[in-house]
Amino acid sequence: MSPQEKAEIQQGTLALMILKTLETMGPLHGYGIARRIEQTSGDALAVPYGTIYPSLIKLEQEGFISSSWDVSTNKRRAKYYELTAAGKKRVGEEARQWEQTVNIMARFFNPEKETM
Amino acid sequence: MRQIRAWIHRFGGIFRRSRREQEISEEIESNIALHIEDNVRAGMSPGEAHRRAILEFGGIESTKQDCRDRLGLPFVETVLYDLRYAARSLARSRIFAAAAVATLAFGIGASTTMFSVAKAILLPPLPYVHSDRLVAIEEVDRLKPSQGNQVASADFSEWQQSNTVFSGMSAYVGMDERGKARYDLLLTGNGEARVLKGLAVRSNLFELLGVQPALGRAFIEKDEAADQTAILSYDCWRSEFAADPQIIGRPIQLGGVTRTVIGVMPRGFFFPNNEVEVFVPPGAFTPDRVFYDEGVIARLRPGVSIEQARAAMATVGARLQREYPNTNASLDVRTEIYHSSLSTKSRPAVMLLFAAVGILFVMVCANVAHLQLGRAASRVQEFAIRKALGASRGRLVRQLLTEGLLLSAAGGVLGFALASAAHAALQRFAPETIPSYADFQMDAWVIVFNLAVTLLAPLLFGIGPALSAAHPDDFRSRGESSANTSRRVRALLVGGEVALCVVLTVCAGLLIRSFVNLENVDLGFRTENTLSFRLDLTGLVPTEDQGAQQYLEIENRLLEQPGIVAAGATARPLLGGGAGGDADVTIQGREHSLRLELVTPGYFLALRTPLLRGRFPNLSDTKKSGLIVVVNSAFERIYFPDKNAVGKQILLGRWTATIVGVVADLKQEGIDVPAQPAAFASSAQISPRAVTFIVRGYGDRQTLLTSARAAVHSINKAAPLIHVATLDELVQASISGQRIRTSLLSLFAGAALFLAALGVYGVLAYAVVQRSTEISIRMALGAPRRRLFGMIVLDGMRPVLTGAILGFAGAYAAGTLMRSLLFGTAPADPSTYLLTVLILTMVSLFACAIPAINAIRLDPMVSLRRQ
Repeated sequence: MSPQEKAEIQQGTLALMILKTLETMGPLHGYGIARRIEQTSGDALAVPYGTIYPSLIKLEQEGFISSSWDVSTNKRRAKYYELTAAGKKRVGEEARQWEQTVNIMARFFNPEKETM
Repeated sequence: MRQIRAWIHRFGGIFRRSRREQEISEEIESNIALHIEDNVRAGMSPGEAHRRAILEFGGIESTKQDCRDRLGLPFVETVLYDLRYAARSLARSRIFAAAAVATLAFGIGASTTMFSVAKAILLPPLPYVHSDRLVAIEEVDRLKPSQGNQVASADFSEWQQSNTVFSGMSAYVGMDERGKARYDLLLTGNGEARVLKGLAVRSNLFELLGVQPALGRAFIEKDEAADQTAILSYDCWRSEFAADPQIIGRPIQLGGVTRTVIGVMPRGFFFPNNEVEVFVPPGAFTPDRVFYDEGVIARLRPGVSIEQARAAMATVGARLQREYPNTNASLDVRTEIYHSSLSTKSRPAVMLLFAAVGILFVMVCANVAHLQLGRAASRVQEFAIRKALGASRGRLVRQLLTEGLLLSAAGGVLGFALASAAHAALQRFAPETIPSYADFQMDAWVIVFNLAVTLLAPLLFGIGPALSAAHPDDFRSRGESSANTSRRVRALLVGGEVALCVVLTVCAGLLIRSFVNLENVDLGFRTENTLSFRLDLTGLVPTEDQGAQQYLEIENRLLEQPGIVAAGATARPLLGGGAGGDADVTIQGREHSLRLELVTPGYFLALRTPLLRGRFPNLSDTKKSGLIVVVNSAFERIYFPDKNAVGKQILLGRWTATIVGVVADLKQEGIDVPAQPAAFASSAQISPRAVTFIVRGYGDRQTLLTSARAAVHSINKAAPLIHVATLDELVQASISGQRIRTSLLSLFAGAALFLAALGVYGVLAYAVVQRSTEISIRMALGAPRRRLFGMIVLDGMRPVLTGAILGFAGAYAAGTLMRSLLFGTAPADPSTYLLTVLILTMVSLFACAIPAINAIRLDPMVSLRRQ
C-alpha cells in the first residue's frame, strides 16, 4: 500500500484507539501502543509513533490512564501506561457510541438496506 | 469535570516544567530504542534499523513541542514570560519606571477617590423598600428661586385630596433647606439634659417607606394629634437608653412634653438622613399657607411613571395657583425621584470635580505615553533584533502592553493606597463635605472601579507607543521613520494636554474668583471676637412667655460678665439655612410672605449691624406697648422705595405693628444668597421658643464660653448651651463646600499644568536630540545662537499654541456648564482668561527654554563627529 493511500487519523479517534489497546493488552509502553495500533489497523493507518505522546499526556491529565516507569521484557526502562477505573468505564461508553455512529453512517451509505 | 481536572494538571504543569520535559525526552528515547531493537530483530542492519525508527516516529522536536504545549498552558506561560521580561526591562530603567508609576498612582488615586465621593453622594443606597418608586415633591417659588422648596401644609392637604397617581403621600417637618436636621428636642430627666435631633412625621411615613420598627409599633393616625409618643432611631436607643429592651412604653421628657416611647427603628434605617434621632408626631395643627416647612415624599402607584406623576402634580399645582392667587401665584410644583432629589444641590460640584479628575487621568495617560515613546526610541535596536530573530509584530505589541500593564498595576496599587488615605483625610478634616445621607465607604465598587481604571490606563497610554514601536519599517530604516511618526504623535499629545490643562486652569480660576467674591461679601455683621450658642428652655420653664423673660434676663446677665461687651439673641439661627418661619405680612394692603425674626434689644449691637434709620428694638418695647418691627434695607428698597419706611404700619398676621427702624441687610440665610426682605419683631412682645445668642467680647473662644455659661446657668441651671461656635466658624462652615471644591480643583489644575509642562519639555528635549546634527550644521555655518534659540523655542511652542486655542474654546463651554457654581463671576471672566494665558505662557516658555539652552550649548564639532 502506497503512503498516499494510508488514511489520516481522525481527530479524537486516536484517544479511543489508545484506550481500547490498553484494555485488550493490559499495561503497555508508548512504543507498544503505537505498534499495536499500527498492526491492528493492518498498516492502513499512517500514525507516526510520536503523535500518540501528546494524546497520552492528555488522557493521563484527564485521569483515564495512569503511568509508571518499569523495565521491559528485554531489560529496557520504559514508561508503562495502564487503564484506570474511569478509563475502563470510558472505553465501554465510547465503544457503544462508536458502534451507534457506525450503524447510522452505514445506513446512509447503504440505503437499500433501509426498511420502508 | 474531566476538562477541569486536565486544566488543573496543566496549570500545575507550568511550575514543574523541567522535570516533566526531562521525562518526556527519556520516554521518547526509550521508544526509539525499543523500536530499533525490534527492527534489528526483524533482520535490518543497525543503520537501517535506526533510520527507520527515527522516520516512523515523526518529528522528534515537534513531538516534544506538542507534549510541552499539552503539559502546561502556553498562553499563561507567555504572559508570565512577558511579565518577567517586562519586570527585568523596567528594572533596567528605574527612573522611567518610577516616574511612570508615580504619575499613574496620582491619576488612579485621584480618580478612585473622586469615584468613592461621587458614588456616596449621587448613588447612596437607601434603606427603604423599592426606593426607586419614591418621589419627592416640592414647591418652587419662581420669584425667589434661591429660597427653599418646602411645602405649605395646606397645599399638602390639597395634594393628598386630589391624589390619583400615588399609592401614598406623607410629609415631615424638621429639615432645613440644606438638608440638615434643625428640630432640636431637649431630652431631660435622663441624666444630663441633651438635645436630640427630631423629625415630626405623619403617621403613614414608615408604612410608605416600607419599614417597620424593630421594636414596638409604628405611628397610627390616633397618635398624630395626641402628640404624646416618640419612636427612637436605633443609634439613639443604643446611646441614650443603653439599648434598654424594656424601652417600649417608657415615658420620656422630650421638648418639655412627656412622651411614651412606642418604637425603635431597625439598625441602619435613616430618614431623611442619619442626623435624626427621634421621630415624633406632628401634633394638632390647622393647615396653613404661612409656613413652608414640610418635606413631602410619596410612592408611585404601580404602573404609574414619574412623568405621569409629574403631569398630575402640575395640574393640581395649576389649580391651586388659580384658587389661591395671593400665596400660590408664583409657586410651581416640582416632582422628582426621591433618590435623585437628594443630590440635586451637590450634583453640579461633584460632576465638575469628577470631570476634572477624568481630564487629569487622561493627561496622566498622555504623559506616560510620552515617557514610553521616549523610551521606545532608545529601544529601537532591541526591537529590531527581536524582530530579526522572528518575533512577530503582535508579539512585540503584546510585550509592550504587558510592560504597560505592569506599570499600571503598580500605579493602581499605590493609587488605591493614596485614595484610602485621601478618603480618611476627607472624613477626618472635612466631614461636612459629605452629605449626612451618604454612605461614604471604600467598598467593593470602589475596588472594582480602581481595577477598571488600572486596566484602562495601559490601553490609553500603551496602544499608541506599542504600535509605533513595533512598526514594521523599524528594522529597515533603523528607527528614523518611526522617530518622525512618534514626534508627530507626541506633538499631538502635547497639544491635547495643553488644551485639557487650559480647561482645568480656567475652571479653577473661575472658582477661585467666586470664592474670593464670597469671602468679601458684605455680611451686614462683624464676625471677629464673637461666640454664638443656642438655648432652648422649652420644658425647663412652664410657659413660652416665661422663657422669653428668661432670655432677656440672660442677656442682661451676659452684659454684666467681664470681657463681654455686647450680647443679643434671635429666634432663627444665623446662617442656619432659610427654613421655617416665613410669616404673612400685609404691607400697604398687600399680603406678602417674608422672613420674620424675633430678636432681643441687644441683637444688632452684638452683630454690629449698622442702623440706617430710626432705632433698634429696646427695653421700652414690652407686652403692654404697641407692637414694633425693625426692617432690613431690602424690605425698604422693595416696599418703600422712597426710603420712608420708619413710622409706617404693617400687619403681622392680624396685629398692627409700627416700623421703628431700618437696619443694613444681613446675610442670614447664607452668604451666597442675596438678602431677602425681612422684619424683626421684639422678643419681648412676641415670645420665641428657643433663641440663638450672639456674644461679643474680649478673650478667646474658651473665655467667652466660660463667661456665657456662667451667665446662662445663673438664670437657669439646667439649660444646655448647644451649637456653640464663633461667627467666623459659622461663616467658614457655610462656605466649606465651596472652599473644598475650589482647593481641589486648584490642586487638579496645578497638577495639570505640571503634567502639560512636562509634556512640552519632553517633546522638545527629544526633538533637540533628534535634530542635533541639523542644529550643529546651522551653528557651524554661522547661524547666530540667539536665532537658533528662538527657532527651537518657537518649535516647542507651536503645539502649545494650537492646544491653548482649543483649550480656551473648551474652557468657555465648561464655564457655561458650571455657571451655577459661580458667584459674582461671569463664565467668560476676562481677568481669569488673561491670567491663564499668562501662567500658561510662562510655564511653557520655561519648559521650552531648558532644551533650547541645551541645544545652543552644543559644540557643533563634537556632535558632528559623533555621526
